[in-house]
Amino acid sequence: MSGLAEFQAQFQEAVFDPSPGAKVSSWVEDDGLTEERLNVYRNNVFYSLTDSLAAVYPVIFKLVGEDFFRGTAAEFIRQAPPKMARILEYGAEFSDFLTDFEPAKPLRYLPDIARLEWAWNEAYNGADRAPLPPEKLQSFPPDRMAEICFTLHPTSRLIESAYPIDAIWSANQEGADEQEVDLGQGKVFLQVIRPDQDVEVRQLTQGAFMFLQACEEGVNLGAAYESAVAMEPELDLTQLLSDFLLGNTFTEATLHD
Amino acid sequence: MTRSQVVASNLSKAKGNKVQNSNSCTFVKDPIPARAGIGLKAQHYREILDISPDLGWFEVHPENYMGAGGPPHHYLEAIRRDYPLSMHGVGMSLGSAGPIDKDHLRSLKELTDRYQPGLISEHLSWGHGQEIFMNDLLPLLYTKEALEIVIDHVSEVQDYLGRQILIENPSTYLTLKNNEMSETDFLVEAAKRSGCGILLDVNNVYVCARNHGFDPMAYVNEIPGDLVGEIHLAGHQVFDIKGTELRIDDHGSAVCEDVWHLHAHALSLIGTKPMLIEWDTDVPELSVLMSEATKADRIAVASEEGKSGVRVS
Repeated sequence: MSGLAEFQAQFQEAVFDPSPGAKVSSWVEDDGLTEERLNVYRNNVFYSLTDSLAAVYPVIFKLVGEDFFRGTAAEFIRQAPPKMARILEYGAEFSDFLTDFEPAKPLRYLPDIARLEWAWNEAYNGADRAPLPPEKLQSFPPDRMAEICFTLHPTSRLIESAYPIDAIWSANQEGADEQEVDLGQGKVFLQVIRPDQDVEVRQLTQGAFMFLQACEEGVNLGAAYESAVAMEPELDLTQLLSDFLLGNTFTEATLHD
Repeated sequence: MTRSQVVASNLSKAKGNKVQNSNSCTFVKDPIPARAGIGLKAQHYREILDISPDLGWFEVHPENYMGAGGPPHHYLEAIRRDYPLSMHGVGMSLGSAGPIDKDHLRSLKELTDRYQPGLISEHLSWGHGQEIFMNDLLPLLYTKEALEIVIDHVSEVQDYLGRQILIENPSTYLTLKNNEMSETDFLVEAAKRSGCGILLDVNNVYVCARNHGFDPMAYVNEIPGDLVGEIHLAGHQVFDIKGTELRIDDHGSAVCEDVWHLHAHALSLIGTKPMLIEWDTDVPELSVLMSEATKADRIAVASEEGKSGVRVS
């Protein structure tokens, strides 16, 4: 190993292992403060990565407080450090990490909030795409409507949770009024999407959610509606399609039997 | 035209050139003017578009724009229509013993092709270790081996981008025993041999000088002015570590008086260059950044007037 490679390997080891007497110390001119000097770099690395996680997970940060967040993030960074410099993509596994992170377990809705915030982050930075013009549907033969396949907007993310994570999320936005959230109010079905410049978190019925899930899997309108109406018999297809079209949920419609 | 008139015209706002093509914009690379600009922060996007502040240019970290779309690109495109732009990377890890991350380089090229920045810069440091990116500007060994590696990496980046980059002197908090040359010798040699320019971070020079006990003016004197393409100015923090002062670069406060003096000294030697106010943590109101930029410009004007023999009142 070259001198530079060896130095960098030992430096990296010292960044992630704060125990004193790191191998890399032998490269440093010792003025009695080598440990403190290495700590500056350790702190910088952990602070900058924690700050980038805090930028993606502001609601988690608010819910658990700065100290808890920094401690949790430090543990996460040790377990799943970034592999690349595209820092916008760092932190995808935070929700899975929180699921298994013992100190966070009492807040059982936390992993789902993290999934919602990650989806928000992906939607915010995701590809821009023009929505499907509603009149496009009129170009299909009426007897083949059931065969239409819809492409969801590339920023669309479907999330279901046993907890009212959308209410918790809203209540913890900057400037939101204090409000009580009933954790026992039942499952929520959400879509995160950014059809234009603003990311939206939409609450869906279970049927509408299943319809979009089917679309995501490439299922055509007829079959998607069948699976959705089986779960929600009162589901009105015309209303559903109109809501989705007005909400710029789709970007494309093609015939597929 | 007198020297001060030249400076005054340099200080007028340079508008970004743009060729409008249906819905998408194609930008034409325009030079960064020799006056002050500021780091572009998301919290200032709307205000900048609303008030069109009298600033020479903006600088961004390309890493913040490596997403496919969304508001960051929407705003950057709108601001780029009105101002020259510089891209200052923190992720290329030019000093890593390992290879340059090709994906990262490709992402950077997509951005530079799209936004046509007037300047592109990176750091004389490393952040990529073994399979891990540490998101920090870690200290480099100043050895002959490291010099060859940096020159190779800078050349690779420049060849791929098809243009020159600048490399910035870092803030450091320790001294390495195995160094075979000074930082300035390393930086100047790397620039001369790779054909890159130098981004002289005056705050980093000052921080290092205080941390390692050298004369910051002597450091600046050792950098040939014609290699310098940009100057950075920022605030830093002062800590007391067991009775020893340690200064840490955090871009979280106003530029301190000593750094302004060093800035004036640098300008007197190398002439007026594009000057950037960096403020990345505890980001203040836009007006605070603007007044820092005005101060940098005033020092530049005074420096030019001093050179041309005009009395500074």
